[in-house]
Amino acid sequence: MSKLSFRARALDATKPLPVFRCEDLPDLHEYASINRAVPQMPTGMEKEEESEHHLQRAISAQQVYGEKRDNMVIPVPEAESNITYYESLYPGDYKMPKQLIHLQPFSLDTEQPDYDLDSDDDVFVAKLKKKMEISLLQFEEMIDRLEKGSGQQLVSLPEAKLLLKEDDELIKEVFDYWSRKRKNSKAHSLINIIKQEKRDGSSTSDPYVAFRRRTEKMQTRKNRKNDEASYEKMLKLRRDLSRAVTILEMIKRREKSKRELLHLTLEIFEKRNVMSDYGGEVLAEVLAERALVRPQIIPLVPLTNQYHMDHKDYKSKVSSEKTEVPRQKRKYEKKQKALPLSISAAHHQGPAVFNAKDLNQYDFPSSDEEPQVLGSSEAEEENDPDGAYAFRRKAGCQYYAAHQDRVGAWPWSPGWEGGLAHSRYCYSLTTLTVPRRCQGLARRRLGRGGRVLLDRAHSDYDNVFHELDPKTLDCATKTLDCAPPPSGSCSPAASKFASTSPINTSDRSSSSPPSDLSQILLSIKACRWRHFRPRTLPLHQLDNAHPLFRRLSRSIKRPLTNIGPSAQPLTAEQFQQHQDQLVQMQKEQLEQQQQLQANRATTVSANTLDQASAQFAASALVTTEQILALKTKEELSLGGGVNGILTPSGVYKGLHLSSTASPSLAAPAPPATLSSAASLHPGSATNATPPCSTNSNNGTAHHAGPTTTNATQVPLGNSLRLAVPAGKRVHAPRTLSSAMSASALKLAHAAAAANCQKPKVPSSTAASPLDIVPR
Amino acid sequence: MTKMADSGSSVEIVEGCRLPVLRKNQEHEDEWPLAEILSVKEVSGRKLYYVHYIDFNKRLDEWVTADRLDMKKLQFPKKEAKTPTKNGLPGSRPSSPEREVRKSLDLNLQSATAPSRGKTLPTPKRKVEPVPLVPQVPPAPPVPSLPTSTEASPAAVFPAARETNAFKSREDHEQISSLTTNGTARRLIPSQPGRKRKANCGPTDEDSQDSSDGIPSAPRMTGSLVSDRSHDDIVTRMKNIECIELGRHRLKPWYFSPYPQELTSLPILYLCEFCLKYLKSLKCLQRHLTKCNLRHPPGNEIYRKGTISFFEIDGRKNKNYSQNLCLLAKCFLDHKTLYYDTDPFLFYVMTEYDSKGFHIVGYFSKEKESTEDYNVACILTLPPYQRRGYGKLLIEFSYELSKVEGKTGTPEKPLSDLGLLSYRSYWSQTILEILMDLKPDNGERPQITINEISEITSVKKEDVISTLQYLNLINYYKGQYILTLSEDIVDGHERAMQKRHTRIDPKCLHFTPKDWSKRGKW
Repeated sequence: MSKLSFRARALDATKPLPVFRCEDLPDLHEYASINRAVPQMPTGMEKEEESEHHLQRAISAQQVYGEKRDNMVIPVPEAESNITYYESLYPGDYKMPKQLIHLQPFSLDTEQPDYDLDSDDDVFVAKLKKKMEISLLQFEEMIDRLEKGSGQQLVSLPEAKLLLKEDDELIKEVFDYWSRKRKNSKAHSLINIIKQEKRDGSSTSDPYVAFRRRTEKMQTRKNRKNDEASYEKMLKLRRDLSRAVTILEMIKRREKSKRELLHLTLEIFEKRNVMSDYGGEVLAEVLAERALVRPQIIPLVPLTNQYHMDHKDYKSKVSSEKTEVPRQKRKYEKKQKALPLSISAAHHQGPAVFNAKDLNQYDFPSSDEEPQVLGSSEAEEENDPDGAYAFRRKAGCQYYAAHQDRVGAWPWSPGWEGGLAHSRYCYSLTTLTVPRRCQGLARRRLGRGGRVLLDRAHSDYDNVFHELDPKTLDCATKTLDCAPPPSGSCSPAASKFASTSPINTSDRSSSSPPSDLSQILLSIKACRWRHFRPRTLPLHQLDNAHPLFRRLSRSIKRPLTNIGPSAQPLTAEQFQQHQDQLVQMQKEQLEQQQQLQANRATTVSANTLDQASAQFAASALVTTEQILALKTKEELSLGGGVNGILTPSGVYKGLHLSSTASPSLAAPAPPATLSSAASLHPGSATNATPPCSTNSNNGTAHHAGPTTTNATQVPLGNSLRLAVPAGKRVHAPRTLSSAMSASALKLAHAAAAANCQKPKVPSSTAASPLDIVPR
Repeated sequence: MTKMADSGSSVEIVEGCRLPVLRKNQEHEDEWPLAEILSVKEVSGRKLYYVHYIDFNKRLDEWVTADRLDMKKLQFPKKEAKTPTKNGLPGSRPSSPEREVRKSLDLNLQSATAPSRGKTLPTPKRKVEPVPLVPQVPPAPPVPSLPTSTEASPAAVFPAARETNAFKSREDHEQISSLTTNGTARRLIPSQPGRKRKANCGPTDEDSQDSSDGIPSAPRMTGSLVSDRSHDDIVTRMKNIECIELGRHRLKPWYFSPYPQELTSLPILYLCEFCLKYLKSLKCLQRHLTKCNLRHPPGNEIYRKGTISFFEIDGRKNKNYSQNLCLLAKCFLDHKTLYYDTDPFLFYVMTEYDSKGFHIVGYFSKEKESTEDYNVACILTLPPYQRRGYGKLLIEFSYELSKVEGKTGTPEKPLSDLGLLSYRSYWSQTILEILMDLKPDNGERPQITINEISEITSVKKEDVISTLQYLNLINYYKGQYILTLSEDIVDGHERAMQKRHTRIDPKCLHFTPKDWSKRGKW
């Protein structure tokens, strides 16, 4: 037969299997040989156990006899079931409840002691009972507390007395007994507990440690959604809890205020008593007086955008309030109910006015419920246009009101408007060299590495400006040589532009605008409008400026025209020039208090300073330092008004470099080190530990640290950083402005030269060591 | 078989030694199976030996006195490279852990320093096969004088050698009891220094679940059983509780259980019958009973018919009871692990009611969320109730739960011997019940798919197939598979079903499955 000629198919679980009785298939045994297709299933037992004698015997017995025979079962250790005292041990009166038993939550939490009294205890308690009153349960409870009160160290007697509420004598007896028993016991505890896992992980393989906590999460993958949901819930919970904290804090403030009110009331009463104002005449008089003065509500926690308040006003209000307080009290005392809330609110020192921000100060943004914190909700936008940038008070900071009289006194505003900037840094018409055309209004600003940045401002006449041809302008200058001399101040329009910040695009229409090109040209000619053009500026326009300024204009164009730094060696002549500049700069500082720019070319070529020039530079610095000190005093006294309020950080702050030089171990520099030293790190050449560089870049730091503020700005080779150790370490943001004081730069070069014994430092190395300056 | 009158007076029997030990079999006849000494202790001047009968389950391990040891056939621990699977039956697990060997080595080293013996011993750090010391045993005539070549070369030096000369030659001289089927198969395998008994814990080539080379690491966190015994050591291989009193029963534990160590020396550990709290004395139990008012397991009764009830206990909500239950169950379940907490498990406790309360008969635990279709983690009928159909009831109940859940399920592996027998029996009866009830429709042969069986019974498909196979019902006949019911099978089944008087009644089950994945963690 061809029984074996075809292979049996694999068993298909989805295929119906006909069920036969064996007697219906007499020829079945003939097919028995091809039964192999069904794979043998594993038993699920451990291999080695599967072969155990008794199991194998039982299995074979089962297969032979169809069922287990008694002597073929797997033997197990015997169990006894005739405990004689069982009947007495457990009460036999339990009635089965009709309903299925449903366990009530917390029904298991009985306040029973875990400790169970043993026979020794029994003897002891029996003995003790003769002396004093104690029940078994009471004893158990005491031991239970002592045990649970003891950790690694046993409870001491005084502690036990605190722990137990029984009288001292009993406590002492039980305590003594307990400590004796505990000492004799080998176990950790008289309440036998399963060994706990140790935190250090040493118990991972201790067989007696059981029921360890599952530290890791199980299958985070499977339940990722769920995890997210619970995370959200946690966030919500946290926020809710923080709200509760806020509310509690507010309650605390309220209660404090109440207490204060009480004290003040008492004081008034005493005062009246002293004044013998029993009839209340004085009080009435005061009240009448009081009625004339409207109480002023001063929100001590002002709303976010409402803190613009005149400084003097504020003071007067505070003082007036102070004087009013007692009188108010009296009123309060008399007409408690009728008093408007605002009055009581006013004299409460605790703030009566809360705003949403205050309430939210403990809140954390969660994705679902508080979009307004993220500043995305429109409603919030209306209330708080600043959104995430809204001003927030800092704890411990004192804030002053804005100076009303110095509106527009932006740092980039010219002097006549109260600003600090020289007129050439104000917005002016600007013409670039490379796309040779007028760019419209722009102001110059020093960026990193001495780059000159142009902040462009939009104006309604931009298209007019763009049409301005520099050439026509040039010739116009020639032809209109006899134009009237520049008036003392710019035209209103120009000044308007000058004060135009990129954000502030307000009422431009009010001024009389130049309507056409020729008019603008004329204005330029007349120097009513400033017009900036790099390089091509005719010299005569700057004639009245000092030589440094000329140089400046030359240096400014360089980054724009992409000419690489020149690395020519410095000649004696140039050095002399440089010296002159330094002197000039100092003068500038004293006179004008404005930012100066040093010649970048000089900076780079200064690499080749020899020892002598280094010496000179260092000595020059000494004088600069003195000047600086002078200036600093001046500025500190002057800056008081500006200091407190945060000026928009950015350009202005970035231009300031606080540089207090103090002796540095690292730089064995020439004489300058006596008073000050700064070390420069040219590339990897020096491994001197650089002093911490500080650059206070924000208002608070300014205020906190008595760092001298130096207005002199020097553009420095690409990314040279000067490390300037300050007397007080102000941890400054990482962004060190690349500008630095000229003196410091000089010194740095000197130090570098002296330090490295290198006559020449390649400009490339000097220009790149950004990385080595520690931050 | 002659019994040795006086043995080890001069010979030190150490852990790892093997020798025939007298025990009574179920017919109360003497038998001398080969056993391994796992531990030695001295109680009031008498030495006691903890023996494991090779190829018997660990539950039969016991403390024996010296007079039950057949010293003539003493084999000292020996290291061979042997793969037990290839060489006869692999036998049951126990064999000496590394440190036992080392201990014996130290002993041997001490005696070896005697000047009379001119042995050259390797450096003490090397493990030595203590074969050379065998001649010390004076009353052991079969031990031959070994070939000198093997004396100086311990087997540990040649771990790859399958059978050394020394071993063979000795084996020839030994008369192994006919009862010990593979006395020679269980030899120590040389293990690497510093390793635990991983190397000799079984056929490592077949199932090497542990790749961590014996570095103790936390076991996996799912499931309730361990098959990987890398955490095993001599402590857990020995029973530590002598006797447990639970209600009216006294139980002899079968395996180690991590009850507090200070309680393991007690002759009897007392358990509260209802809350399963362990107590050191009867007095304590009495005191406890005045405070414990439980008369049933502290859970919700989800099934009751007659005196049989089932209580559901959440391992997270009722930690105390769950832990106590696990400790008790561990006494009877070898592979159960108590390494982790009980949080991810539900415990279904079967009770029998009488006027004292609901007495625990058995239980099974179940993972709230099983990734592997397990519907039972651990399952146990307490010994006093065994062999009376309760186990089947527990299993039946577990499948009833699965039916309510609409899932198929299978018990967590590895199964114990008793577990395998019980489950096979349950599966057989369940499947046969279905097959025999099949009625021919339209005169055609009744037929059924495996999947249908699985769906009806909630028994996992693989278990259905293995049962059909085990019962030898699957036959290939004329180009297709058929199921055949022999007369023996039918008769046997009918007889067995008559014994199953108690069944689970699905109508009495009040159970709504919970979706635990939606409840956070467990």
